[in-house]
Amino acid sequence: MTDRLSRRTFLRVGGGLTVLGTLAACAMPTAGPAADAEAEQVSVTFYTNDVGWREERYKRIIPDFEAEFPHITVDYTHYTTNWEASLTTWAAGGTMPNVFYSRTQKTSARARLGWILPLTGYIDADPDKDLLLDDFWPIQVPQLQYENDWYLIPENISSITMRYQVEALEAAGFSAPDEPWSYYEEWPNVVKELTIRDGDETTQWGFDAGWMFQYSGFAWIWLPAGIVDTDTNTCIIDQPENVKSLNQLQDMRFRDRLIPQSGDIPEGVNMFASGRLAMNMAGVWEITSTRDQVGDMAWDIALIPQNPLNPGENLSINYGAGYAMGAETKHPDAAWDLIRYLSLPSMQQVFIVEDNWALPGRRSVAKDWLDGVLSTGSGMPAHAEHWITALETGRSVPVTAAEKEIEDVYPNLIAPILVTGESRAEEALPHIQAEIQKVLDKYV
Amino acid sequence: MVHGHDALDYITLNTRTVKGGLGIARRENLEAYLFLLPWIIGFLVLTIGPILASLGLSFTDWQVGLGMNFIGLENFRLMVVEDDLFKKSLGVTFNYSLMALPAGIVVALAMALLLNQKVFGIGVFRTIYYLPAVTSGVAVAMLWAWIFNSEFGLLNWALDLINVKGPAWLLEPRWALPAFAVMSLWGAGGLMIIYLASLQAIPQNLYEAAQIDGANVARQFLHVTLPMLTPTILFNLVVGIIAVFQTFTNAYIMTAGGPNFATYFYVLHLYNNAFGYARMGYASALAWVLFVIVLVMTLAVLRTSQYWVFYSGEKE
Amino acid sequence: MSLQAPADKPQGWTFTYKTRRAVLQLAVLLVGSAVFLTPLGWMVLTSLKPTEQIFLFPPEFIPKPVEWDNYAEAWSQGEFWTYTQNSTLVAALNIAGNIFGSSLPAFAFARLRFTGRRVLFLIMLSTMMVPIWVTIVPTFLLFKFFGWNGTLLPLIVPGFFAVPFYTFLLRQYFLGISHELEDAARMDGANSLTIYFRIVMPLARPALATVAIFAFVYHWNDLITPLIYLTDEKLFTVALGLSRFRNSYRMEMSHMMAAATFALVPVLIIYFFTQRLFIQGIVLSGSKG
Repeated sequence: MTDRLSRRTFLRVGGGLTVLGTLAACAMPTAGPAADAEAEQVSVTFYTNDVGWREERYKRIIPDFEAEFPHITVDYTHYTTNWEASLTTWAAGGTMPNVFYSRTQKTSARARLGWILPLTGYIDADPDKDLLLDDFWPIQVPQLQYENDWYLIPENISSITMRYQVEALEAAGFSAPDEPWSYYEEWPNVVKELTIRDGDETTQWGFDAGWMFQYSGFAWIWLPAGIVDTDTNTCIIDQPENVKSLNQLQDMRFRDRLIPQSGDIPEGVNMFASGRLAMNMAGVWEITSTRDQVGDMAWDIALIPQNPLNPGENLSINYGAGYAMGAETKHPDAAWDLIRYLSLPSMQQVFIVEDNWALPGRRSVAKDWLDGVLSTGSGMPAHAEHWITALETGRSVPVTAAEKEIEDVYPNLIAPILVTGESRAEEALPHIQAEIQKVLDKYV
Repeated sequence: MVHGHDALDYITLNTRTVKGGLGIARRENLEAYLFLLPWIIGFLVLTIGPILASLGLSFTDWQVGLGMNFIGLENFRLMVVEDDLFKKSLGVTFNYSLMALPAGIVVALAMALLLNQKVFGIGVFRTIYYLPAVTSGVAVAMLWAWIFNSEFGLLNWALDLINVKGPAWLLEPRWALPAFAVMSLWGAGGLMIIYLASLQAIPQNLYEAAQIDGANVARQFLHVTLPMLTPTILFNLVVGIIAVFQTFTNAYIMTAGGPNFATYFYVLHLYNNAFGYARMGYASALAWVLFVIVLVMTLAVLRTSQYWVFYSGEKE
Repeated sequence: MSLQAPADKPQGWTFTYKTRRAVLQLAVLLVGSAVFLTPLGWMVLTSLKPTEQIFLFPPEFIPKPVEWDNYAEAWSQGEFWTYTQNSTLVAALNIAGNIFGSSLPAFAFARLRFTGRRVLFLIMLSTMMVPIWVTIVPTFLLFKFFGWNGTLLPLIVPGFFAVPFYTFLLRQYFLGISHELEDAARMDGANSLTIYFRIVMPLARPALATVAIFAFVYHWNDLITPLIYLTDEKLFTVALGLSRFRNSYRMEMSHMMAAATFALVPVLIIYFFTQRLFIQGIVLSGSKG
């Protein structure tokens, strides 16, 4: 095969640009359904890498798909670990899966490298195009696209809220809030009242953000002015509003001791479930695990405060996942059929609603999801609809191709402010801004 | 490479000299190459290609998926001039190797000596001491995160018994690296069984002779055990240098290089570039810099070995 | 165990110096065992805990009730019987391949004199110094060229050619074997192959056992190679199957610990029995004296 030969030469000699260009051109999906697709039996490789139990679901629904599309055979494998190393190797070797489960944080990076193919042609040709696009969450759309092309068809989306122990909140003299607490006044006060001390020992902590302090994507929750601007080329983290917000968090943690420092938390002990922590953050994907862990303790959720810079916007952020088409897919039409099928509302019933897991990528399924959660009965939060509200009013976080690289340096950069408490935000942020800018500059 | 020849002379000196004429030497040459065939074939067919490919890639800007351009020494310039994390990670790796390598070699030897006794149930003990070396992956990382926890961890609980207040091991930049070194000692069983195999090979008559000469245990150790173990110590040292500079897994799983880059090992930086950002050209350049560093250190060790390594084959 | 029964039993009530020493050794061994076993013990205990109990504060050590189901569930998460067969095949072939593929060159490097020995040995050593992360992609392309992708061959074939680590290990060991027997055999006209099979290999049994154990552990635990080359679940190895318990969002800790414990058992059994070879080694090298 010339294909093989050329790629080896390309590695040895380094004249890869042309080869890759040719390969990419060959692999581009032809617009519109191919005429001979139905005549010939084709095979599509499909890999997933999320939580283990989903594998069984895929194995359940793939025969249905094959029955509906008799000319397509799906070659399915589930992976969970070292996914990045495998994908990179497959991308280099030209053996990317035809269809794979891909997180929205990765869309820009993968599209930029040409690992995934644009789906715009298929979406435009779809008879239900408007229905399809209307059904996506507007907040998620930027994470499904790269440079104005569609690359990902969503399956799920997650938002973030506070979760609290009902009894602890009532004992502190509050009730379930109708409106989000205000960021600089009400919320710190609630946290203060929720903290209970017995001499030197804190028997109940008021709040903990855990790892959500440290992951750049999630860190947006604590940065009202954001990290990068909307064109994703400029770091804008060093702004007065971010200084004020980070210093408030630092004070709550180190001066007022309302938020546990890392050493205060035993490894492997769930502080919330064991009643040692009155309130923390909860992603919607944690709904059933929280229920399973808390036992009889009543818990509920409340919206994260609104953005002080933009009162109409909730500080919750969203990420999700969907299905992408790998480069060099031999039968793109068949791959699209699979992607389309996997994104149907009926599939979201199987993968999302049945388990109360994350939120469906289609808005039309959200009500079923909520009904499902509430009808599950005991152990579920009474205000589960806040997770949906958080999606409707939350902020749309831009995802850059530099996402992973920023993610790798951010925890170390933010540590002096929030983990060790040795620097005030106004001292540390100019340096952090410069470092992140250096990363962004590599991607221009 | 001249140095390489010299250095290797020192560890290969012992091989007996060939007596007899050219014919015998030629025959031995042929035999040797037949014995070497498994390595030569594997090297030519499976190993050298990928290694040379990575060397070639180190002079390119290849990001998997994008074009590949020859950029000369640009990657190496970037490393030295612009990449703060290159220097940072190199420093971390050097510091770590200074802690973990000598400690590992000594502790493993102590374990092997302890386990080389005829004590009841020694087979069980050997298994116990070796087990940690074979447990791997996430479960071990989680185990150690629990052990190192400052308030509730096992280590600080034990320190508390002797009235020492332990730090927040993995969360304080200056303790995180020592914590990793402690962790590596737990897995010293791998080195231990290499020692054990060599200890078992020391002929009993050497000890008997030493006893007849009136040597006590300490003298037997210094004059019999230790000299007989020097080839193994050399092996563990060389392999240890190669391995310690490639430390990766636990930092990748447990700390992702934090806190504040305190455990940001060189190979973590390399891995992030290769698979996090698909920057394969730059990652290859990082790999070849590491290669040179490790090669130089290995040659230095081999060079000194003539002064302290003893092969019993020598005394004919 | 009979082989290692204590040589010195207490004579009456008089504790000899040797006996006291044995007792002291035993005490140190026991303390060390506690240090080495505690983390593993926690792992096993956690694997038997019901989910609610894992998150209790303060932590409880003893599972209540003991959830053997964690193992049943972990086992039922995939085709573990198939995985076990695959892993066994891969590990067994690699043990055989590594022992022969590495001991032959090691014999040449240690016992034969030939042109280019030093250079070749140094080249072999230096191939260990290139971090695998940058050769993964070129190796993948090479194996793809061979048509090995999606088969077990990438996990097996390289094992039959010399592994530098084992070759170096065996070479060091071979160097320590006295030349007296070899010289005598050569006087009788034995060639190098005879020396290798009749003298060096039998005497090197402890080192070969070490290689066997390392090879088994490495291939039993190896995750990255199966992950990249295997796409058919029927060919999955145990390590690959176990990796499915790990995910970023829902941590089924007891299952993960059950899986880790499960992975440890075969290694434990293999090691426990192989370490006896060390004892045979002592007899041989002791008698040759």
